[in-house]
Amino acid sequence: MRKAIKIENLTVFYREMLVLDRISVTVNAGRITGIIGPNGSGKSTFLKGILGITPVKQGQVSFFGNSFEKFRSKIAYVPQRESIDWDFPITVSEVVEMGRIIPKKWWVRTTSADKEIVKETLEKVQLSEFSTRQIGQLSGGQQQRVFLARALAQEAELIIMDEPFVGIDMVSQEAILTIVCKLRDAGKTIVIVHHDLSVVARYFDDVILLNKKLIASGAQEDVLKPENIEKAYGMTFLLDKQ
Amino acid sequence: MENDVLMVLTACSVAIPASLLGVLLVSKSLVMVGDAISHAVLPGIVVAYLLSGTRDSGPMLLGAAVTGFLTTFLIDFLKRKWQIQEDAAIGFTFTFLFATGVLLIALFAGKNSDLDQECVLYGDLETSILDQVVVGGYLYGTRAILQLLPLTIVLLLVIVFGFKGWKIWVFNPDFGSFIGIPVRLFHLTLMLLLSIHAVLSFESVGVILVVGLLVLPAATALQFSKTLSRTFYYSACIGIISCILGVLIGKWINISISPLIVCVNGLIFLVSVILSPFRRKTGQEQNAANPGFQEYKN
Amino acid sequence: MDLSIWIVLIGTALIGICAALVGTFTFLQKKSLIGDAISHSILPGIVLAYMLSGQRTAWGLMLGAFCAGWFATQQISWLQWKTRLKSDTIVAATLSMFFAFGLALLSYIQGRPDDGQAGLGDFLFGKIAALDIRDLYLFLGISTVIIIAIFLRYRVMFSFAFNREFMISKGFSLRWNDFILNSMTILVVTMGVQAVGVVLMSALLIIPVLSARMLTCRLSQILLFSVLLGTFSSLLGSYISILGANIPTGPCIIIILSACAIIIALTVKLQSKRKSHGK
Repeated sequence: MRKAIKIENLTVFYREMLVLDRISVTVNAGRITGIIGPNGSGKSTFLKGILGITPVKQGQVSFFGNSFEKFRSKIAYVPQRESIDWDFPITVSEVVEMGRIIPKKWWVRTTSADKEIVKETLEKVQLSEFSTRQIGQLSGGQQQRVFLARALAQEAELIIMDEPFVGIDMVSQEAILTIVCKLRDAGKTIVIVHHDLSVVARYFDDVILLNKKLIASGAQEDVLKPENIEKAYGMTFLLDKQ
Repeated sequence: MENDVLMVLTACSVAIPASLLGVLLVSKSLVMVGDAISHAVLPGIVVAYLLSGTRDSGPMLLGAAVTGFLTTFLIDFLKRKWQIQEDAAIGFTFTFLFATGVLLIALFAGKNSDLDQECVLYGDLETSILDQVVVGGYLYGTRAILQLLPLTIVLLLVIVFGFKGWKIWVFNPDFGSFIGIPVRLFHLTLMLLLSIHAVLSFESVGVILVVGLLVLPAATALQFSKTLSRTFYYSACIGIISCILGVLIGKWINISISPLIVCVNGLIFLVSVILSPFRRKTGQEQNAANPGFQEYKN
Repeated sequence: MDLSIWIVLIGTALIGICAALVGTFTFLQKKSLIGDAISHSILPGIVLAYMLSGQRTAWGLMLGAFCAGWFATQQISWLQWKTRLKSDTIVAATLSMFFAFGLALLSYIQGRPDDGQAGLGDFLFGKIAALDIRDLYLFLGISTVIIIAIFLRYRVMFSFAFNREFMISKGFSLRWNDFILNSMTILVVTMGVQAVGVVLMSALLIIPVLSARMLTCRLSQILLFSVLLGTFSSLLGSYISILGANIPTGPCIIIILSACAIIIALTVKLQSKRKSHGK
């Protein structure tokens, strides 16, 4: 199996506190990988560390054998809900257009080709009729789909989502997961950070279990075993395996 | 010599309550609200002056209390009811009120009155000590001292007796209102004391420098104190020290005292930051370990 | 109308346009009070430039102001990195330190025998009538730079304000973006203090966009409305202050601006109330 992300010895400090301790793990290409751990276990920091948003103390990360800089344009990041100001005066299509901005050509206006792509991606996530709405006027699930559309508009190979299922209802959750599965089947690699072991965990192909250190990683059924979960969460959870 | 002592005392009478109020403002991140109030009392002062025709403290205090409350209320209203982000709400409120005040001075106070635009911006400590209170041949102090002393005493009483309440107000207001502490009352008390302080001190230090006296000692104290009570204590000490230094330096080179006090305060603050043990990890140090993560300039 | 009035009117219009444009982006970045900090902090720069050059030239004063504003923003980011203090404390601390230093310098040169500092006091409240043709050329230059920068970069700045993590992950530099926005703010403030003065400059940055935001939630319309409002009130305000003998320009502009904002806010609220009743 191809390796999408190869992480070696990733260590991150927040001020003087050790948040992530020497994590070495790989993410397989063309699969949905869940990063699971309790609150405050450093999952989001892990993502931000990989993406160069948070400075890291040490560690090497490569993407499909390339350095981060080289591969950067093929990575899409879907942020946590709380980090967004939903009153911000931006429309749905403008959010998706953000995916078309290129750092090396920052002065370029939105071209008609870009607009076409934006239209198509909005159709893919079934939000065409909302394209001129302000982002705050959508429901939680729809908002998440907008950000997914932005990731699609980037034409990314690797999509990284930070807690996409917080604060949205079951129906929207299913809708998002359907899109994510379709993307996986189209050959994209998807990484999802998730905070608990609810139903969502079933959709992950691979799981990385984190709590400041790497607890376990690998295929979902190998990782989500009671002894691993006890190590990560500190107590026994009854796994809901339907 | 006697003048110098009077000057130090007058400066201290402004700086001590300011540094105490500042601790509460800084730990609750209300500094900009404090800044807004010290600007916004201006129309209150001017209207009181125009209506009463004197510079007596009675009507002015009333005017200040009213505008102080108006500011708090307006910021709160814009933020809660109209969902305007806080910084913009503060910026709008105080510039609007301040502009009103300045315009009122320019239009109605005229040239022959003792209110002018410039003295509002930077007060004059040197002339404020000439306003002495002499009863029966004995010098009791300057008017500023005698006005600010009761405020300081009230403030001390409020802080000492309500200490637990302030602590909860600062760190955990939700819990406070849950167990029945009138958190809102604490907030309003602070704002009232702040407005009164702004009025009483604007003659000696002016509206903008008050902010420096509020925030700088408290920010310095927070560099090396861990508990709220110590922060109050250190902050007041720093306020007093910078007053003394400011007056001494002002005697030595010919610069007006009140900005000098704030400058000294600022220097103490900068030194304390440089000396403080805490250091946030630098991005560069961390990036040096891994060149792949360096910030990329577009 | 004679030439000097035209100079004043064109000058204020430029200030209004640029302040509204830059203010929109500082507002969206939730950094409205940085404008306040910068406008207070440039005072020592102005006074020092005057002390060094010995005269009141627009170029010199602007250079001084720009340096001081730049120092202030550097100090703010240094303090944010070095201390645990919250950003409002840091902004207020920087603002008061710089302003106090400026006042100290001002009182120092006022104590000197060559009493030529007349006009520096105008920076505190603004006196647009003092504008001459050379100032206007400078204003034109600065406005062109700002307008071009915003025209080329508005998409990036807008996206940064909305979702900075995303932009960093795409490879944009946060520090570079902050630097550009800060520089534009400093330029606008140095221009604007001559009209509205140090204390009220932040209003010219905040209020137009605040009112525009109430009317619409489209960026292009926000920019358009705030530019219109900023220009209209600075023109009207400076015109009134030229007519009246003893009316300071700054407060006059701000009062008109605030009045417009209040009227807009009330109309919007009334309309939305009527709409909800209609349903």
